[in-house]
Amino acid sequence: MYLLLVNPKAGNKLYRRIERRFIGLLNRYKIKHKIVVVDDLSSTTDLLKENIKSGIKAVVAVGGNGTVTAVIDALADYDLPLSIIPITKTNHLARLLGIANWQAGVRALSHHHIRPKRLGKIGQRYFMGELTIAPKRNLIKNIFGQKSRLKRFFGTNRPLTPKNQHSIACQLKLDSELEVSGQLARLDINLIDEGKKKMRIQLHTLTETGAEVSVLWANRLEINSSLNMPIVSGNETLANTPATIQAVTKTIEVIQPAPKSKRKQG
Amino acid sequence: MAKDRKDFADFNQPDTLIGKEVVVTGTLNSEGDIQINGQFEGKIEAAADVIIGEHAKVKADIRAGNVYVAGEVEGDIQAIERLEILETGRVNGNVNSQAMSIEPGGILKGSSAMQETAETAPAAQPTYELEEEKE
Repeated sequence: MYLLLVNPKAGNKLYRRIERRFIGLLNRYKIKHKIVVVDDLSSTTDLLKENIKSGIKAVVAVGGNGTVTAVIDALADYDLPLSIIPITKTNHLARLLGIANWQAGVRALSHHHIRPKRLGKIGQRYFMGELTIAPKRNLIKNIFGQKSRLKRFFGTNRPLTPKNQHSIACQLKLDSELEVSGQLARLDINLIDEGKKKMRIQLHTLTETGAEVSVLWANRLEINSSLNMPIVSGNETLANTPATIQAVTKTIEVIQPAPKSKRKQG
Repeated sequence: MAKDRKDFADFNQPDTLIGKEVVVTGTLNSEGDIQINGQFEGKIEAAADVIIGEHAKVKADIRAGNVYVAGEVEGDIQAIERLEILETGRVNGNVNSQAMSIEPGGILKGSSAMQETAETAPAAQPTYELEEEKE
């Protein structure tokens, strides 16, 4: 049986509108399930504790980025796979896993194709996949610049150019071995799933000729900046700088869409 | 295998890359290639190659497979295979490598020592046998 943790507020309360079709699709694929509605994401850990029993095959986060990060954080202490059914269009991890919409999420459940994914930690909070750290101004400009219908109509919804980006003085400490300083416009952190590889850290700086990227590797990163910057996974802010981010050896099993050849067989 | 100038020019995906506007201090260890275009102070150890870009300023001892210098280096360099100082390169320190080249315009202030390569070293010691005189 699958334990579905559903956030009814995600995606502008989309779940309430698709509920019948959603349950219908689960039944069509003969997926045994239990639905638990999470009205308050801060209670996810308690809800999981109450509902985890033997016989549960996986915990499914049904919602957006906030739901997924809350479930990952709660699930890190259990030995159970995670699955994601995106309700919002901006579900970052679902997109990384190749799950385009809620129908694809349900189909992935029916195939139950599992792959381990590495976990990272910001302070005491677990995360998975990628993180972006950038000045608020750049993040907001990027989001609104590309989503604005008016800007799209006039063809001005271009991504930020180095000229109109903002940069902030940052100091990074990598594994207590390296100290890095510079004016950063953005910092991308990738958890590498292969073996015990370190986190890939990409520093985006601005030069007279344009943007430039530096690539460094570390298991532990301390970041300090002259102004507080949000640490974002998708569009969900997990923390703010100053912060310590580390790659832990722990992995979580994640249900992904089956490879095409396997899908045909199924 | 050592890189030629064409590879060096196309070297745009190193494992570790330090950009122009970035200042780094400490010990940098890497299994892959390292390219430094900014400022670095400390120690560099790489199993593969190290490239010091044209605008880079490095104060460090470097130990790597191949070392290519197009910027400024203050410190000792130990290249297990090859050291190349390009036309804009300046090295202030002692260098040790199997093979070395300095392009016109490149500067080395320090001593250089060459290691013996497998090709130059004799493969085996010659042996001499005396035929016993048959009576």
